Amino acid sequence: MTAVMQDVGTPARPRPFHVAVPALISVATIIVLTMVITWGWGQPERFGPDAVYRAVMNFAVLARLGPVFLAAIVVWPAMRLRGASMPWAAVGSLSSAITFGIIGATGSLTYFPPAQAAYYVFNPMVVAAIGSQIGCSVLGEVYVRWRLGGLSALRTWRLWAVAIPIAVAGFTLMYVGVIWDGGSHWFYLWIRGFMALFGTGQ
Amino acid sequence: MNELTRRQVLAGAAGAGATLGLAACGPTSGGQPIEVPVDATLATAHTDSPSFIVILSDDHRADHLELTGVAPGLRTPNLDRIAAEGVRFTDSTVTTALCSPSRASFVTGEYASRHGVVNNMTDWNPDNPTFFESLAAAGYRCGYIGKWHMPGSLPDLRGVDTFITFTVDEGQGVYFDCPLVINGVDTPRPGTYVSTDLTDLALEWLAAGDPEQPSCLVLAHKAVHQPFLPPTDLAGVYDGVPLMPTPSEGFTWETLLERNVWEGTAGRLEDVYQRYCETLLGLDREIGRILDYVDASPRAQGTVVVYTSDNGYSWGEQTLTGKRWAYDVSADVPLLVRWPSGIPDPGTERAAPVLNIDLAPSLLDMAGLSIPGTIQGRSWAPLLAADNAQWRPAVYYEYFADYPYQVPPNQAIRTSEWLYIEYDRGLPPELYARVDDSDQRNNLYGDPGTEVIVGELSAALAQLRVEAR
Repeated sequence: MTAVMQDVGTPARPRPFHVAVPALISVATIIVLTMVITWGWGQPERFGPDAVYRAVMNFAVLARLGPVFLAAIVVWPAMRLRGASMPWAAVGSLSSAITFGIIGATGSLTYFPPAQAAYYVFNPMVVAAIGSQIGCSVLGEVYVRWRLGGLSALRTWRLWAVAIPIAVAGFTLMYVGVIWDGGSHWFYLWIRGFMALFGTGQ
Repeated sequence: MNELTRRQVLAGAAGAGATLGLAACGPTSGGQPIEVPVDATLATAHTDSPSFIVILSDDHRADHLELTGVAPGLRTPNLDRIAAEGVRFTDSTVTTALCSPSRASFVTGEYASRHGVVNNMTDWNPDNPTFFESLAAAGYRCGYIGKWHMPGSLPDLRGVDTFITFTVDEGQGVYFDCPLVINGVDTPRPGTYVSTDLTDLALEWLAAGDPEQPSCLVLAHKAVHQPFLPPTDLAGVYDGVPLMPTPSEGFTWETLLERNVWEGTAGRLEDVYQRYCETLLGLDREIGRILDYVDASPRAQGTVVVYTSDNGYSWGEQTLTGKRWAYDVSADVPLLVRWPSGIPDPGTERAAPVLNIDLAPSLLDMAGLSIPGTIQGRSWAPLLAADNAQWRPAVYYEYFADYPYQVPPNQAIRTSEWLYIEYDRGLPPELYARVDDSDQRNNLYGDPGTEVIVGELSAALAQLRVEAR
């Protein structure tokens, strides 16, 4: 994919922080919303009226899903248009899902030993988020090419021959992780993996 | 549905499962009934002995009965009928609020610490004794129909003449077209709704019996477990109907929080909860069919109908959606007992604290049999005649790690006044005053003045921990 797609014109000498800002904003959003959720969880008295508590918590939970699952649709083109190479755009686009996985694994340290907590990053939500970000990255790259080269930049079979399989694979991963029978198939696979590694977890 | 004929059931009972002729796919691993020969020295079962129908549901919280008024629009006319014609235990709880351990406790009368099924990953030990064996040895005809859901391959169940269950979805089963394992034979069930299908099979099994012979049937439903799918004609029946309000600390999308998301309830809390109530209504309808059958049978007066569940369920309390925790709403289950010839004051309630491990000794007690020493529960049969609030001074609760559910292993002691919980890791102890704080919202642990009661409860909990093993 890199070889095929790296012919996009990008600004020379990109500044690392400038390039990373879109990904950092997404990651920061996840962290802040997680802090809000953690602070407010089960504490309606901190918000005054119950309606405020519910509104804030519902917003935080749903809003967090945006960067976790869909950040790449913005982060990828934003980073690319700021001069990021494809590998760096990929890192930036996956950083939100990975951050979500790390937050989950860290939180599960409260309940499980470290090795089991580490295994938590393979849970269906994280896997689905990674799949979704991969698919969104492809859409983002298509946008970048259109933005920089117009429709003519999209009229090449080499682009689609790479982009379509990757996008399909990514969104399929998301579908299996959280949509297909509510993600139960991946869930059971994940648990079987756990049992293979840790037995019954006692 | 693909109904079993009586002959087919009997053929299966005789171990000839392959003759069922229901497009069976072939034998699965285990799941055979193993009849226990009647022990002449123990045989006490006769025409006057009570028959038992134990209906075990899944995730049905104790207060979700029409008669409690907790959910104004909720209808459970047939469960209420059992209560009206029998006894309702108002302080019934399970020793572990989780499917597999609780189910094992029901059939063995033992804590999870002893029977060994400590979570949903731990295999059932085929050497575990069950009440079926004792009843069968005394001349009872026994059957198990429905959710078994204990890890490992299906056991060859001793003491029953029929063992019908399912293994699909890791033993959870599915609501529609749920393939069954009928006496060890994989059997597709296209066009069926699982609560109805299991009830049909239960009625077939009951009809196939000798009216002179007492029987014991466990009918274990998938309902009302997630994904909470009611029968098609009841889907949406509660649209616009007031049910239980979401607790103040609950909110619509709490189902997506880490502590809740693996419970399989992802979605709007209010919508998922409504489906739960609709699924319960579907289950209630099937229970009505069982009651109607019993009432029309020659053994109507001598048939004990027991209804209970494997654990309760939180719908927003403590911002939790699910079970596992030691809180009342998670651990409390309905316990309704109807026995026309054995309950002197039908329509009454009993406040004595009873447990799931009490079912096995209670059945044996009502059957007039001795209670094996392995059983850790205590028969509640005497409570059917008269209440005794001091019957059990404290209740022990235990929970073991069950990955990936974010509930630390814990043990708890519950008295009429207090709930005290100690976690093995991650969380500090919790103390709740049950009388003033029945929903356990106000953790008193660490508050000035609670040191003495915490010390007493902690010491008592340590003792119960030892006794449970």
